[in-house]
Amino acid sequence: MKRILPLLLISGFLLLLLLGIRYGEVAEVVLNATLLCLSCIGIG
Amino acid sequence: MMRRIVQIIGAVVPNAYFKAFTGIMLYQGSLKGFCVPVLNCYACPLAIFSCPIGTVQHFLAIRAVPLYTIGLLGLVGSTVGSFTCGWICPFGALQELMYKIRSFKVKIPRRLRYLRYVSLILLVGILPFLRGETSFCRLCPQGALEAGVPLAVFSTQIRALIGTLFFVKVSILFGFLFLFVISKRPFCMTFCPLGALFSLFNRFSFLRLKVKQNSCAECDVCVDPCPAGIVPYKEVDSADCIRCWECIRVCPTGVIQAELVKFWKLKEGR
Repeated sequence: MKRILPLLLISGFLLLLLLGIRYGEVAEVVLNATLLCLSCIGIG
Repeated sequence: MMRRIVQIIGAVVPNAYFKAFTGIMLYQGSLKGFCVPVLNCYACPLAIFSCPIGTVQHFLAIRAVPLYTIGLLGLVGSTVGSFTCGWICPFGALQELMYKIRSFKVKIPRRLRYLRYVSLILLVGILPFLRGETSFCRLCPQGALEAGVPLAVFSTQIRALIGTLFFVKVSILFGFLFLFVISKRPFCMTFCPLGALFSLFNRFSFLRLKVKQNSCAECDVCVDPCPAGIVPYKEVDSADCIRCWECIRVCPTGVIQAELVKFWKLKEGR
């Protein structure tokens, strides 16, 4: 179990990552990060 | 020394948009699609990658599931646990550097360490979803340091928009800067939602720390250098460990080891 659990977790999260890429989330991440985050600056 | 070099690289590489010095405000390229596994504000004019915590909040604020970001953070967490906190995070490095300033020192009470889970669940999870805003970013001292203060100083347009929230953020920043001098990694231990998330993986990650059974002399040589303020030989792989491997480096008997789940021995102390 000690050996299998990390592998299961890695596989599961890799699947989520690939699903996110498949559904075009990277474009949304780029869009969000290239707009000036007003909360980050403290004026939102 | 090796860790310091990696920490410097960890601070410079995600913030390598030096064109910002010529007056161009934010990097607009495709690298912003990649979230670095450390707290690094994407509103920083120098930032070329995204902040994972800001990204998660944004997706929840627009009522979407951040599969990509959760997948990326989970992948890093289940592979190396809190390793990025100890070796790469620039804000963690700043805290360690400031702790070297001579002053009275205070130990953070253990109970306060649970606050970072409150920060993760409430400020990164629940509030952004309910209120449609990036709630943690509004308080984040890292954002104030990397984005708020520099932009307020160098941009007259931003300066004109400054209000109460900005001063709240800057006050939180200065409060933490004071705490950095008197206690070990106070932001990581009490407020950082990313550290909280990675800490959950420490016991289950591929990379683990191990103490050789019955070989530790409990000489406490590893206690003082530990930036997380834990007793490494008693709390190996605990949620508070940041995987900096300082304990491995200083251990005179070499009983603490880093290994990849039973397969390989990675690094052994002297």
